[in-house]
Amino acid sequence: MLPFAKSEIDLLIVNNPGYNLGLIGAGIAEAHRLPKRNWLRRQVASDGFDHLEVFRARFTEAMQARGYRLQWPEPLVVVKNVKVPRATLGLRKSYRPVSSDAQMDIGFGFIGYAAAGTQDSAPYRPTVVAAAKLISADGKNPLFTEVVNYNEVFGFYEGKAIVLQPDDAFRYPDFDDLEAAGPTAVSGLKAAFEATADKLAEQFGPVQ
Amino acid sequence: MRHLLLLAIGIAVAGCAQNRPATRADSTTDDRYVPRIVCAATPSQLTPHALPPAQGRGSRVDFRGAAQCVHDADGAKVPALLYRIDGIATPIALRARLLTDGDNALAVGVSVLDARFGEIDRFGFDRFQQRGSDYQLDAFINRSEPPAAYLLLTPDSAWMDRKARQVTGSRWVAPIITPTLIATYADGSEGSRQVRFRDMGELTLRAIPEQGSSAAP
Repeated sequence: MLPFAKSEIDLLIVNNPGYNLGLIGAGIAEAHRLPKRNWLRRQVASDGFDHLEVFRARFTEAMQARGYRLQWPEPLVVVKNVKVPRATLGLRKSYRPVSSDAQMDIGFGFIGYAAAGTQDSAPYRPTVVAAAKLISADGKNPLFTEVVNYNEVFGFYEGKAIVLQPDDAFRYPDFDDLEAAGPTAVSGLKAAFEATADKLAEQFGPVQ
Repeated sequence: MRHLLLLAIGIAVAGCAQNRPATRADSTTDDRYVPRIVCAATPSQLTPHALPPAQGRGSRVDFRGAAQCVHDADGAKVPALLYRIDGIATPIALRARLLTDGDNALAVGVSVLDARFGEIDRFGFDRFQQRGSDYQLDAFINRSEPPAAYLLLTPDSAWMDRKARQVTGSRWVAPIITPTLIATYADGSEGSRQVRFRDMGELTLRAIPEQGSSAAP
């Protein structure tokens, strides 16, 4: 497994009308969004939730059940001063030879809570966009590429990504509801990362 | 001589009926489709279709419209689509996409058969992944002995009448036109619908020689 790119839990109203009304509108929308995002990050930190560790643990377990042994790097995230050219969804543009049988690159797009719009009928839901690429040991041949989208709210990958339906237990019509949920909101993120890891592993065959 | 002629006509009519594409007049039982045509005892009696061209997305096939009838392992009549793949070099990258139409989603399984119609492999509907609102199978057909020669698509009985919820976000845009301003207002909404897995709907199918990398997107 190759080191992850740095990724942080976020919060977003995907089609916020403010972003459509010039710099002033976008500024107002961001002014509303950032305190909410910061609350979510504080909540995640206070719960000791590390999305990469949750993903690593679940993906390792799910791949083991299918007969694969994963070797994870230390540290898990690329160190700050190492520049890695990346393409879509954080996947690398090129790969070096490795000594293992193959190498896997996993990148995350949006991760956190996202709502499709501003109305209560477009609730905040846990959302994960993850891409995986398996490359030959010599770094030359892509063997497998896949995108998994837990809660398809963006539409960018419609028809291409594997869609995972969000769990209604973590549906919050308004930010106040999300805030009131407190630690439960973090449980929603954990469930989303675990479901994403399971679905990616499922692409490598049935449990043995 | 006249008896022989009548017998020949009878056999010809029976053969045509057996291979006749299903029509809307065919009946459904508990909403399941049972073709009222003469039903083949085994897949070997079905007329195979040629695969659509490998380029592009492939043309759509209406499952009920194109299906013939075959008896399954339990003796039940089921609609079936048979495709010939024995001209394609293995390993083969197989992609089957089942198109969701409104609240109905086609749920079939794909059997890989050898030239004697023995089953080499079977991809049930549980191997299909939801992509957008459709369901897609990406699988490999590897070299085998005997080699793969046909694909048989039949409804996956384990999935018939089951339901699934599909939640998606979408964007809408409204124009704002005033004497002094022309602009747009955009917002998003969440849609939720329940689809029912059935033996009706359209599909596309591609089977191409594998060249190295795999799967979507």
